[in-house]
Amino acid sequence: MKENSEITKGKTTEGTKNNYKYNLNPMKIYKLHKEKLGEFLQKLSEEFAVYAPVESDGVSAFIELEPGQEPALELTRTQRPPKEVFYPQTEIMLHFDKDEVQSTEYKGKPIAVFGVRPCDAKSFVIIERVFVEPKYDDTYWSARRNGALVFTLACNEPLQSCFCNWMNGGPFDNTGSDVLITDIGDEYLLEPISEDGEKYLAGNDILEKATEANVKAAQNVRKKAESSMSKAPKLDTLKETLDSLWNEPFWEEISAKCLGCAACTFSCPTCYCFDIQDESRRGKGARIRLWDTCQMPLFTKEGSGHNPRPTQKDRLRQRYMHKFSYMVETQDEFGCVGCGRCVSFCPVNIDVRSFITGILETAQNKRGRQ
Amino acid sequence: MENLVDSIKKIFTDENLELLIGFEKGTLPLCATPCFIESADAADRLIFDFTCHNNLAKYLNDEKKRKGNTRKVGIIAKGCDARAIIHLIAEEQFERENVVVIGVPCEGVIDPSKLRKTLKGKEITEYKVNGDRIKLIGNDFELELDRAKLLSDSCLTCRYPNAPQHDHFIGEKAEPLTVNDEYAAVIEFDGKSAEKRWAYFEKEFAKCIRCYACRNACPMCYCEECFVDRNTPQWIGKSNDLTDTMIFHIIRVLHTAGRCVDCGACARACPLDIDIRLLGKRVEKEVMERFDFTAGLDFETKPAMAAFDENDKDEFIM
Repeated sequence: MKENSEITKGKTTEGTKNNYKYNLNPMKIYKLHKEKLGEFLQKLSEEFAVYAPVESDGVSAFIELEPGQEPALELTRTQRPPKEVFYPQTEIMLHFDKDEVQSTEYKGKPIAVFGVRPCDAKSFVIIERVFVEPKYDDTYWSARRNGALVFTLACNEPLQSCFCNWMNGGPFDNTGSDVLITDIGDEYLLEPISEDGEKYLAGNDILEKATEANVKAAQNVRKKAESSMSKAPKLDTLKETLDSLWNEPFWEEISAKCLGCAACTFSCPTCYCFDIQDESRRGKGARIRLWDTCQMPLFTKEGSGHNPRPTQKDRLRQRYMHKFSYMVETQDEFGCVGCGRCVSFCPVNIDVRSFITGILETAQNKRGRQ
Repeated sequence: MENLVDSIKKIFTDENLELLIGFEKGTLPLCATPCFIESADAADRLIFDFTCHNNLAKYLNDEKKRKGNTRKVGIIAKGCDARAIIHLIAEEQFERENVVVIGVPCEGVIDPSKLRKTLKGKEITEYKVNGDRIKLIGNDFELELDRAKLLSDSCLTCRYPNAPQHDHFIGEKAEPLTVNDEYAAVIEFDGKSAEKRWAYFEKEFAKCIRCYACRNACPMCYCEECFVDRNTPQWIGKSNDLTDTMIFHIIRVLHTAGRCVDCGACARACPLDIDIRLLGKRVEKEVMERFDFTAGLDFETKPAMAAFDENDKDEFIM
């Protein structure tokens, strides 16, 4: 839960700089029998609007649960990224009718996100640094995000396209979480991460105290999950490498097959760019904010008709530079959480992992030549 | 196809190609990726099999934007890639002599949407093909099924698995499937009430995130500036509002009328697994019945929308 930007920032720094903690102090850990999950969610929904992974009409996304609806917790990754819980693809900012203006900020219950995965929980923190900083506070984001609780479900079985461990995360990372949940078979273990998480769990009579055997089981699950992931390459020089290779033919090569669609950016949990448009008729209408994408020419096309990023090479380079260089500069962290959606959804199999290893190799070859 | 690489190397040299567009192994199982070869020596990484699902004709448009219509380009073509190339040449997008069509026999290609739906959120580490059956293997599961269950719908009714016209052909021509009625699904859908049909399209297009992967994967969508990208004036709302989204899809389908070769690349590109193809197939049927025209069968026939015949049906003109 976040009351102001300082708390989030503090939490993030702790979460990422020291990598992540997983103390598993049995005194503080609760357990929930799986058959009581419905009851737990029911109670949660009395206080919160509960968003959880749901599959509807063949699309999986974080949607507000209907009373009694079961979340699809078996899904490791939803197709749509959960950023839309706080930052919908299309959001009406205000209605206007000639001179009258009516703001449309979220006024619903505080939000609880249940069953979000560690990569996606971390994405909330990364996007938040863009929308909320000491000087500016994006009221549309904050109206949903303030007072929100994030219940993260650790990944017992990371997918082939997952690479959170490359991005300083992991299948049990707790960055951005208020509570970290581990599935240990018949029960879930709930570990409070933030004070708000701790407060919520402490007052919940559906939960029981975890035993030491439970905690041991969780540790084993975690070890197995972490060791199942491909070994992460050393990426501490990635930013500097990218900065030095701006003009390499490499960019031309990797972007040649790119279709220039937005499958990657719109499925990305950390891409935050938006457009603002007025849709009106005879002076009456709405101002809307909608996801935009650096992968399309219109994104940078100027009023004069000039486009500073005229080719797909420029646009793909922008996406990667932004995530792996510019955001390291502004946030001291990669702007990618390694969720693998872009890997899985790219229609032509442009794999960001191959890009990373490829650019490091290019740098090495270049050094070898010099 | 054991001789693919050798054959391509020979063609590359004999034809003095400057670029060859083909496929190489991708980073995920059952997923090939397009690749671009600029010398015969680099051809070793080429592959062709049922995982090569993109329509490569799309990249001829990119090549034209990048280098003009100057380089001699070879392209490894399934039946539908070849038909798209043929149609693009019939639309005078490229000089015939600058494009070398290298046909390969196609037995259908995988549809990533179907693979996703089959795996229900899981991913595989490897697969094994045994005749018509395929075994999908993941970390903690194995699943054996008919390979046809994973093939693109467009392949299951395809009458042109081989390039209808080509400069070279590698391997033995594939037998076309026994397609009793290519339009069975369309006819069945046509039989439903207007409300039901509309409800179906609303349900499908409500999933659309306007990423335009369908449009960008399509060889026929080569406009310098698509109508959805125009902002002076702006033709269409840019949000994922259902009305705007449906206008996008309906207009795109109309723009590809008489041009679509039903390769299904649009549907395979969709990250939300939307049934994009049905509407296009319906329009294709209309064009065939009205104008007796199927796109991409030969270089010479004028495309339906570019030709006028006094016998064209005109009962819709008041």
